[in-house]
Amino acid sequence: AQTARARLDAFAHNLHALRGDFTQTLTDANGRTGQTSRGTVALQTPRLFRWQTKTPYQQLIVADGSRVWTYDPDLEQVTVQRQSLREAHSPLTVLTDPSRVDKEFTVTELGTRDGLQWLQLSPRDSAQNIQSAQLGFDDKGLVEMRFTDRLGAESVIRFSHWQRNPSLPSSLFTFTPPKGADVVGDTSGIPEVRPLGGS
Amino acid sequence: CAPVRIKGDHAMLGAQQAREAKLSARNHWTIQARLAVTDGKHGGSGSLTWTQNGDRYDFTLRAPVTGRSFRLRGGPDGAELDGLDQGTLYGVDAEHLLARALGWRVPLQQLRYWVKGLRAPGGKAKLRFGENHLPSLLQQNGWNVEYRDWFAGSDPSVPRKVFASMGNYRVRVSIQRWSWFKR
Repeated sequence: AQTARARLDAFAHNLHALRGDFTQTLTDANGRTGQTSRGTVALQTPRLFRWQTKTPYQQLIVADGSRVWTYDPDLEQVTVQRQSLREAHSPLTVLTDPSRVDKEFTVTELGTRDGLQWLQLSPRDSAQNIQSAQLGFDDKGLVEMRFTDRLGAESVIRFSHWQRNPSLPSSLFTFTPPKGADVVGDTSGIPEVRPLGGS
Repeated sequence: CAPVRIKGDHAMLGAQQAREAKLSARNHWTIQARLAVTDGKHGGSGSLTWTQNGDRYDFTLRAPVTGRSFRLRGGPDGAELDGLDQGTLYGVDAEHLLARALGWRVPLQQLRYWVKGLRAPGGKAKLRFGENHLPSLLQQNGWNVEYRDWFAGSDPSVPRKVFASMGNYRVRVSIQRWSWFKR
């Protein structure tokens, strides 16, 4: 069977844009399965990223190449960080920028489990608080991504309906805070944003 | 539309007292919610699971995508915060521990009551009501607690959206589910 790395390379080959659905299940440290959420994910070379949770709550994360915006409509809050600082979900962006894999991660084959070939990506620069991720591949591509944190809590993300190189509107990867939402974080250099509390 | 802030009449205050009597006796509950905390400059948000077991609490926040967890547990005897890069931190008081470790101002002791739509013990509280005759604003110990939405159909009614603020500090909770259980 092809190694997981070979499947990653095949999946990322000539991939400059990607779109699909995800289901995310959080389990706590003693294995109790908590919440499952669903949404859509979109990626575009080199590091544009959109992660939109739709149920049971709404959250939108957009990485526009220089900043990462997180918008929680229920909480009427937008947090914005420089993209280099906030690369917590960077394992996904290797799909549209595979040259970064070996530069930014130590890659380890984990073998077969649950019918998938698994690869571990551990960030070389551990200062960035990025967690290591496990990527599970079938013969068609990436199926699952798992994060396990220091407390043993897990985030298991299953992907489906991948569309390779769709034409994605650039608006998917830009974000403008809606009127009335509080914008918090690194808003320097964003002229039109009204920082929190500003009248 | 601007929120409604009616000065409670006799009936509204009476209903509030009845609700407070009923809910303050229920000390074993869990909320599944979204939490956002900010000091005006920095902030974050995540999925919150908060379990209150009498005076003991387990307050677990999960970050988006990676699901990285931060867990604050404890009771009257002290608090423990897990999940940070620097490992487990202990403190006598959960609020000080959160402020020291994460720089967050979260009035946990009082939030335990505010999240049920109740006035916290100690410290005068001012109440204003909405069109649904349930609290729409509660002011206590310098905090403004706005009740933006309610699970009005449940008996007794419990809040769905609680936005607390004091100056630039904001703690916002949007609740998906209330679960009540015996001991």
